[in-house]
Amino acid sequence: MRNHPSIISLLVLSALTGMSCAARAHDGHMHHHPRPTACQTTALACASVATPAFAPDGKLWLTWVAGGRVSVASSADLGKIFSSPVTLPKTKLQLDDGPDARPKIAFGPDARVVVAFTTRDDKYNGHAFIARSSDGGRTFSKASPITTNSPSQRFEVVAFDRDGRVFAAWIDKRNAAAAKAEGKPYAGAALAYAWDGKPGGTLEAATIARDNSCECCRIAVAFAGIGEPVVMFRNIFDGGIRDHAVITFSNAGKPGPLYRVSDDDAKINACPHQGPSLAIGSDGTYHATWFALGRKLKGLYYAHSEDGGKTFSTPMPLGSKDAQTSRPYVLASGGTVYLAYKSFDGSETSIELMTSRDSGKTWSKPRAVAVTSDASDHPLLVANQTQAYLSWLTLKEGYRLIPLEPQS
Amino acid sequence: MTVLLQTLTRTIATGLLLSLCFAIAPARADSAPQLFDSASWKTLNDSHKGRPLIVHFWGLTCGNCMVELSDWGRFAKKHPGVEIAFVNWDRRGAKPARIAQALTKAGLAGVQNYVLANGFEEKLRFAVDRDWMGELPFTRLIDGDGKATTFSGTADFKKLSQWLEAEKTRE
Repeated sequence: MRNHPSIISLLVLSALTGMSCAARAHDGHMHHHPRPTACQTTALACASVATPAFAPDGKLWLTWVAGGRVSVASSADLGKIFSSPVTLPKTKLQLDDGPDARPKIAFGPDARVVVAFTTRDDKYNGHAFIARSSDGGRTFSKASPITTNSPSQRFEVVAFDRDGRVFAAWIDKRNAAAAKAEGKPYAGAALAYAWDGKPGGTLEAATIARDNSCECCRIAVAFAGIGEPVVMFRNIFDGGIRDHAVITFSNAGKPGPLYRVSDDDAKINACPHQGPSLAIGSDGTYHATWFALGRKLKGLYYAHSEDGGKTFSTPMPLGSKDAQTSRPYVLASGGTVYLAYKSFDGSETSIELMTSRDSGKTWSKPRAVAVTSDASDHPLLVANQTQAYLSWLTLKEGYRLIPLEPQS
Repeated sequence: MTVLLQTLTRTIATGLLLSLCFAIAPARADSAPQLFDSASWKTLNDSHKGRPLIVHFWGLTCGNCMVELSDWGRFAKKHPGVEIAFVNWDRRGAKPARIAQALTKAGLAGVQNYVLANGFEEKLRFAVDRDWMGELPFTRLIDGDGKATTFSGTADFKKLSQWLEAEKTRE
């Protein structure tokens, strides 16, 4: 990401296939036995998803879901030992356990921290919340709804801008519900956003940035500059084509024009459950990676843009077609671009890494940097000032933060 | 008349087979879902040799699936005796009670009903179809010879009915 000392964090969401603790408890049992009692505690060892971020003091923080609760904890030794977790109060509704849902954590100035997560009701509507800390994550406020007047919000992302304001974006169904009430057609959902009114303040009323987005995938956010978040998401283009797009916000924090990332030609009424990932290098290059389920492109792809998202390079396919490659993630840090994704060979899941030292023009060959032979979270990439890491939670090995070296 | 008799006989035979199947493997939506893994997937396929089978992969966390579920309920009602297995593919483990509730509400209380046996989704998916990228809904039509065709996204039920008719004439 472009140098933003205060956005030391991951602005990203991700997704997750999952590793449920039920799986752990079940491992090795006969398949037709009833499912045994699931791992119920709130400990990281029982987590199905874990999202990392570095705090300004260099500590690694994780937020995870286990035992039906959201917890956070920090580590001063890069993930070997974690502090006693802070577990947020139990939510009224159950937490969103969709494949692309996970809690997020972001760090701002003045020891401010935000954690965001979504719950689901009986009608499968999402309700996104934001909890804040002003003491560096020791205590959190009661979680507040991310917005009002909306029947459903999912796939929230939260990030601190360099001025200390929080930017939040999510997939929102208020306009879909309004259209339905009037008997009008409405495809998908909408991309909504809100800013903190002032640094240390709370979120202002939400605005719809774009109607008709795909309703079942995570969205990605990176910053092009102060007041200039860039959101990448699966848009619904004319004819019901669900291809990826970017919107760059302007200095006033308002959404700019929508640009198409790729012509996948995805006309399908299915939930891909795989949203995109976006990073912006210090030279301003946008790096985008996504899962395509189109008539023209199918599988994982990467492309970059040198003109603020107006045009993107020819999509580069990632991984081997018969290796079930999934969950791509991109990070730009210290002059290097890192791309990671999952690959499955029939018995093991590996995380393949590719790197580029010329802003995405040429890439190293993929190399496996971590392997597991059971359930796993999505691979996430995170960096502090000096080093990039793979953050990966796996059922067998537990949580791992693996340092990444650029390849040649 | 003969044709009618044949159809009736076949329907009764299928019904008996179905009951037998349920007696052995109580996987109906109104009872606990059966755990889905490579072994139960093989058993499901083996037990339907010579007869068409529809396997529908769906999720409570998939909006398109939930919208479509009642259409599957109507389709199942229109085609009694046709074997449809519903495999819940919520990767982080859906609660059996919520699965049963959703299927029952959609008029699918009697269908064969599976839930992921564990969280190693890649491996389970690999066992089903190497080309399947995990999108939902996903449907696999297996003909009497065991040959499978698949489609992603919501179903065209007219086409599904045609496929079933074609299968019946093959029997």
